[in-house]
Amino acid sequence: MSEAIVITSGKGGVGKTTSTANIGTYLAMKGYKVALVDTDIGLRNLDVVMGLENRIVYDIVDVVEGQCRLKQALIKDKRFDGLYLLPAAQTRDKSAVTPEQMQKLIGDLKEEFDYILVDCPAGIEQGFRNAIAGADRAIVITTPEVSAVRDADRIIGLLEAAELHNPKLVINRIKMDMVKRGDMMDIEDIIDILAIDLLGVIPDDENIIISSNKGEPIVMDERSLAGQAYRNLVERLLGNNVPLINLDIGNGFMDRLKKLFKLA
Amino acid sequence: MIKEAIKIQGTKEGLVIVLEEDVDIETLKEKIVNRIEKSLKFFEGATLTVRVKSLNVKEEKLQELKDFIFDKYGIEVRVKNFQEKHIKNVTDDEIFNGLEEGITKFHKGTVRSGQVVKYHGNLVIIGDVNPGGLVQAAGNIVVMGTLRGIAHAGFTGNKEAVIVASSLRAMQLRIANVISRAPDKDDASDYPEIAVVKKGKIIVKPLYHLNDLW
Repeated sequence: MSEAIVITSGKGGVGKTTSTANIGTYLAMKGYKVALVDTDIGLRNLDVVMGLENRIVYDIVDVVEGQCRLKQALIKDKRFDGLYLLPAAQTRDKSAVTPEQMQKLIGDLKEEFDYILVDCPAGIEQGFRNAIAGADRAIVITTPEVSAVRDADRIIGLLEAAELHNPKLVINRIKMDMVKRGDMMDIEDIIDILAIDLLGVIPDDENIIISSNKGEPIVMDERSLAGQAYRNLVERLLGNNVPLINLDIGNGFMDRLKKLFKLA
Repeated sequence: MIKEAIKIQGTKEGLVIVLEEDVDIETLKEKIVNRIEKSLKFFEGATLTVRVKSLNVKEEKLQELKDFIFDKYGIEVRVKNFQEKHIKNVTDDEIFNGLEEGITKFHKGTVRSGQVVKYHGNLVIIGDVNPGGLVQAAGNIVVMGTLRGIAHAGFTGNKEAVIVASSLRAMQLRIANVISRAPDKDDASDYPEIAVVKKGKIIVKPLYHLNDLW
C-alpha cells in the first residue's frame, strides 16, 4: 500500500528539503518506488539538493495546469532506479496550485509509487495547505532552538486540525557538546514540549552542507554519522525498531575508534 | 473604432502602408492601386513602404506586385517587417524569421532565479542569467555575461536560432524544440561560446571557431 508523507516544520532552514532528499533516497536504496514532490513553488530547492536541477523541463504547475502529463514532469534520479522527483515551478508562486489539485496529484502518484514524500515550504500559508493536502502522515522537523520548537508546536497543532494525526518528530542539527555544556536544548526538553513520537535525531554535520551543495544526499555516504542517523530514521519510519545512535562522540583516539567500529 | 486592415500614413520614411492583418496579395494590390489612383499626382516619385505584420505571401508574388506598381505608376514599393510596433500581438506559434536582421530587445541587468525574460524577437541580455532564471526569445539569444540559468532560443520554432554567451554555463539550453542539459560534471569554460542545432542536437562551440558553424 502506498503512502504519502509530508515533511514540514513551520520555520525555514531547519532541514525539510535535506531530510526529504535523504529519506527518499534511502527508501529508494532499499528498493521502494519513491516520488519526491517539491511544493515550494517559487523557491524550489529539492532539485538542487538531489543534483537534478539541469533536468527540469516541466514542473508541478505544468502538471496541474494540464500542460504536460505527470510522467513527463517526473525526473528520474541519476543514481537509483525507483526514485523520481516532481520539481516545483520557479517562476510562479504558491497560489498556482490548490489543495484540491494537490490531492488529485498525490492520488495519481500513489498508483505508481510506494512512497510519496512531499517537501513542504516554510510558513503556514497556502504552500503549507497545499503540501499537507493528500498526505497520510506527517514528519515534523525541528532544530534544538527555542524558535524552531515554537514553530514546530504551531505546525503540530495545524496538522491535527487538518486531521493529520500522530506526526513524527525529527530533531535536526543537534550538537552534543553544546547540549552537554547546557547551551543547547536537550532531546528530552524538546519532546517534553512537543509531546509527539521521536522518529530520529540527526547530528549537526558539516558534510551535510557539502553533500547538499554537490547534489548527493548524505545517506549514500556509508561512513557518515549523519547518514547513519538518516538510515536509522528511515528504518523506524518503516516500523523497524532501531535504537538511537550514540551521538555523544568525543574527539579522542579511542572515541574515534569506537565510532569506526560502531558504524562499520 | 474599427481597425482597418490597411492604413496609409505619411512618415519620415515617406508614405507607408500599414497592414494590420494578413491580407492576400490581390487585396493588397487592389488597395495600393486604389490609393494611388485616388491621388496620383501626390504619389509621383515617391517611395511607398509597405509594413506588414507577417508576410504570408510568396516572394515572387510580391515581386510581381512591386513590378506592376513600378511599371504602371513609376512608384517604388518597399516591404518591411512590421514587428517593431506590434510585437505584443504576435502569438507564440509564429516562427520568427528575423535572425539575421530583425527586432531585438536589450535587457539590462541580471536575470535572477524565478525571473523570465521573454521576447518575440532576438534577445540580448546585458548582465548575467542566474540559475533558475529563464530567457526566452523567438530569435537568437546573446548573453553579455554568464549564462547559468535556462536559455530558450527560437522558442516559436526556428531551429536556426543560436545562443551565445560570454560564459556559457547554462543549466539547460533549448533551441526550438531541442533540449540539452548541462553535463553533471562541471567543466565550464571561460571563453565565449555559441550553441547551435546540428543534426537535431544542440552543440556548443567556442566562438572563435565560428567559421565551422556557418
